[in-house]
Amino acid sequence: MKEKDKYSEDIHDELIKDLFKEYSLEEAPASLKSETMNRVFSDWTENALSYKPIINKRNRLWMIGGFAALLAISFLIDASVIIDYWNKINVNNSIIDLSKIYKQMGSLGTTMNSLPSIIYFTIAGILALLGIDRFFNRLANI
Amino acid sequence: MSDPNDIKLIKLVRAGDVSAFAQIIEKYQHMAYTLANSIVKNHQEAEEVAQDAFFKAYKSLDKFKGDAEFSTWLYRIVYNTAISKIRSRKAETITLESQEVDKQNTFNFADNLNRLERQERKVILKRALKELKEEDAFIIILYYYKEQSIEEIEKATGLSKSNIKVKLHRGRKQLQQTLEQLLRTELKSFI
Repeated sequence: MKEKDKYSEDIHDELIKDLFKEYSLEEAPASLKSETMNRVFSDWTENALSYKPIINKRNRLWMIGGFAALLAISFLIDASVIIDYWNKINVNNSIIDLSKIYKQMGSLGTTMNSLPSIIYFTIAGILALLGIDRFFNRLANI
Repeated sequence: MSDPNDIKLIKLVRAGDVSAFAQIIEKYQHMAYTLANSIVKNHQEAEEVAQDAFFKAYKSLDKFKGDAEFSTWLYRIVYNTAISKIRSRKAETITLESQEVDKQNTFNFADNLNRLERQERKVILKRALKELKEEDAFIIILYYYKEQSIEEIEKATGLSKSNIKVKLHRGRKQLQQTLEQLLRTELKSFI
């Protein structure tokens, strides 16, 4: 009996499969797409107008402080300020006697010694900018 | 895995190019509408359901992970929206009286089907699908027309495999009975 049912079911299955080969989907009305897109655009416009801050209020305060500090370091202090400060504190040059290092480095040391200080400050500036850039990149991902 | 073109369109929509969503609608509108209509059995409501489903899909596009087919994910939204619709209107479904089908009827059924022209067979099938229970029609279309597996239908409906098999069996049986009835009426009109 079970086998008979199974046989009958298999025939139905095949018949329905055959029937579905000629089946075509119902045509959706044109208004479906236009109405849906109207809703989508309307929703998009509403959301586009509302401002959602990326950084919350709590983080904003210390960020402003950090930014101000970085500005002071990178723009307000120029080379002359640093040199003056260096002279004022009257550092004992024997402690960091660079001439010995230059001698040990040979010709490279002589070249480095003859380079104007502006080059060193420029390198320091570039490194500072790279550091600031990295700092802001990290902040952007908070 | 999702269709790469679907993924591309979804990425565009997520990036803010909402007009790309029109292409998604264009691609799936007929299937979504057919599936919605298989459940709500009303053209106007089917359009409403399809519209709602597409809009819900747009709103929750960020939740689509891409590990399953986008179409399956969309059909699930259509299915849930359509089921909510019929629950809200609390309509009574028309069910045909169950009849015993013997082997002789099976042969008649097959013979009668062959007597019909291609276009008539198409119309008869659509009418028979309308007579099916909501979920059964949805499952039958996915199984026979989209040729989806039980596992894929499981993802598209959220029903268990055994439940799908039961509905498929019941739907197939009822579809056959309805087709028989319609064929008899159709053939009588010829005589």
